[in-house]
Amino acid sequence: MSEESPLQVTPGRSLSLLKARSGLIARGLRDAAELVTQNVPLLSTRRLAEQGDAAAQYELGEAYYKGHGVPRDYAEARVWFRKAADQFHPYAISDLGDMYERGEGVPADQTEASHFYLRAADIAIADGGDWDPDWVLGAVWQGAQYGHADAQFFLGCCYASGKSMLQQDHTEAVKWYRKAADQGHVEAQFNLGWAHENGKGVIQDYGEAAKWWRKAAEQGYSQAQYNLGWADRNGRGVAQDHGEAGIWYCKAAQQGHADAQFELGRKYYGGEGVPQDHTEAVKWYRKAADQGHANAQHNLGVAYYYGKGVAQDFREAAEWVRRAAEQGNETAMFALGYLCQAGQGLPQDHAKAAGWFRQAAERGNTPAQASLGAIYRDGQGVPQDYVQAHMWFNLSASVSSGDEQTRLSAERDGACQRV
Amino acid sequence: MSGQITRRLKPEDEELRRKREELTAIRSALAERELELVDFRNQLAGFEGRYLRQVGTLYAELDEWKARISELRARLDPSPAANAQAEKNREQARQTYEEAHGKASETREFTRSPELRSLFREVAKGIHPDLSKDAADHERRTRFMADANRAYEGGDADALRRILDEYQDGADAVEGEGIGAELVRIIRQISLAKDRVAAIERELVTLRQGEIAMLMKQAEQKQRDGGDLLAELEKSVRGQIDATRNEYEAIAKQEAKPA
Repeated sequence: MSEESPLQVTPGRSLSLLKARSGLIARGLRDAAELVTQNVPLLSTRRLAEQGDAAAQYELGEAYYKGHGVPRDYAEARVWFRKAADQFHPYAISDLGDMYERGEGVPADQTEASHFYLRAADIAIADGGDWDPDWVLGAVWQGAQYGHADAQFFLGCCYASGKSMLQQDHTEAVKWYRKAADQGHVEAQFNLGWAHENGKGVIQDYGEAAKWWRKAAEQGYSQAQYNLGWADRNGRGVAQDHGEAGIWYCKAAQQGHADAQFELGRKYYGGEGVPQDHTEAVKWYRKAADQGHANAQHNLGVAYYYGKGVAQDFREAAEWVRRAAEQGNETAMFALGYLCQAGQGLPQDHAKAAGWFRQAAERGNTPAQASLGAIYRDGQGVPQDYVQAHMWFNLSASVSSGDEQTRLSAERDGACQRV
Repeated sequence: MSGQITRRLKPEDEELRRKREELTAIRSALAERELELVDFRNQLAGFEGRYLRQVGTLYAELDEWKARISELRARLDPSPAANAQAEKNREQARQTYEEAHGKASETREFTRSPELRSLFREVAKGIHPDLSKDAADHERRTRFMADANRAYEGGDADALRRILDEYQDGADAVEGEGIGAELVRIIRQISLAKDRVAAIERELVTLRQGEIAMLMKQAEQKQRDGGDLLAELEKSVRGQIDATRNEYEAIAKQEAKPA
């Protein structure tokens, strides 16, 4: 009897679950199931975050910020972003900047926002960070907007090179260089000068180029000092002034700029804008040569050969000329061939001489071509070959002039008759 | 039904003694099961009340906003479909409100003291309807048992004691029946008690498989993990409410604009 309707026998409360329309309980169950699936990953993240893991702190903040897996909660997001930011987590720092800029969960505060954006930009442009390229670009962009000179320069470079996912755009590049340059950013000043020199993103204007190089040069940027020296020497955008050129070359040279050292050496050697001083010339050639500057090595060798500014020494001359020749300097190759042939500073060796002449001749060095013609004519270090002699004499005669051309043409014709 | 067996034999006396013992044992077991059932039902009801108060009322609020949205939509852009949707959502909101704020939501949870439990056990042993001798007795016991259930659920120990005293005044009123008649009665009582135990088992299974029991189980699991399921549900539904209210306000703004 009673088992038919137990509720009548022991009337308890009428539970909704025994009613057909208990939609509310089912709803709770559905939402609870959703909560469970949503909260599982966050549980482990939260545990890590509480243990001080910066990545987990950022992830948790992000979840609250975007409302992923948890209801959106800006206050909670800010707490976790701050913890991560204190550990220099770059993305958290950027997000804090966003929150202050947009006034999310806090009153909008541009000063506070800029504080975070500038910090993020610092990290973004520092070397060696393996950050998300999207983030780097965003952080640099924000930093640049807030007047971060390095970021502005960086952004200009990105536009100039078309790297970091930006379309190459020289006009934009110049815009950002200018912002940074106006803040005294020396590399930006230099690049702005370069843009004017080459007419990239602006109308070509050598005067403007020299103006920006001067600003950078005055801040001690050696490449700008060298470029300004070069402009002064060649009268490019400024009045030609060898004295001024010498001053800037000297400043750059003193900072170890190899090209400037070489140019300064040349000035002293030839007495261009400075009193001629071979000793001083040799001093600067040597500094550049020691840095591997091939032209300086060659010129140093020449100074040793003639004993100008330094005691004459063929061995030293041959040594420096060889270093330059081995770097592919054709003038040095010819000189080295000459020294081999003459046995000056190194043992006489016609075969080696022929080798160096050939290398220089094939690069278009006219004296080497003439010497090679003579070698084939005489069979010195190579088997005698009038056809080869004719060819090399002909080549060298075609680019020579005056007596030299007459002499070489006669040699060529002589070789032709022997053939 | 009694009076058919009149022979008085020694073995019957023995059998009667054994059956009486069996009945006593099953009365104890039945009382335990009865207590278990009433406890579980109370636990579920208490949890359900808490759920309805904490989360159910929020669902009611959510449905109210949804109803308002569809009503607003129907007003802005009237069509039979929009009107039907608005009516449907309004009815849903009404039902949810009724459920969430209904009687079940008033139930509070509290733990029954050991004294109350043992008192209820005594009552269940003594006055369980399935132990009745005849129809009149069954009716009387049923009434007492219903009172006892209410008193237990209300945690009213004095009421339970009163019911027990009152019942015992009229208990075992049937005297002078023969051994055979008594044996048959006891056998029938044992059988009924066993049926009742089985019925209780079935009901417990049904309850445990029910939605509210499942939700309660999840909440207990969550609590062991250091969480609070109802609080999380509350937060989640509040989030849904916020989103829905924002949607409503966005549409309302649209309406406010002059056409």
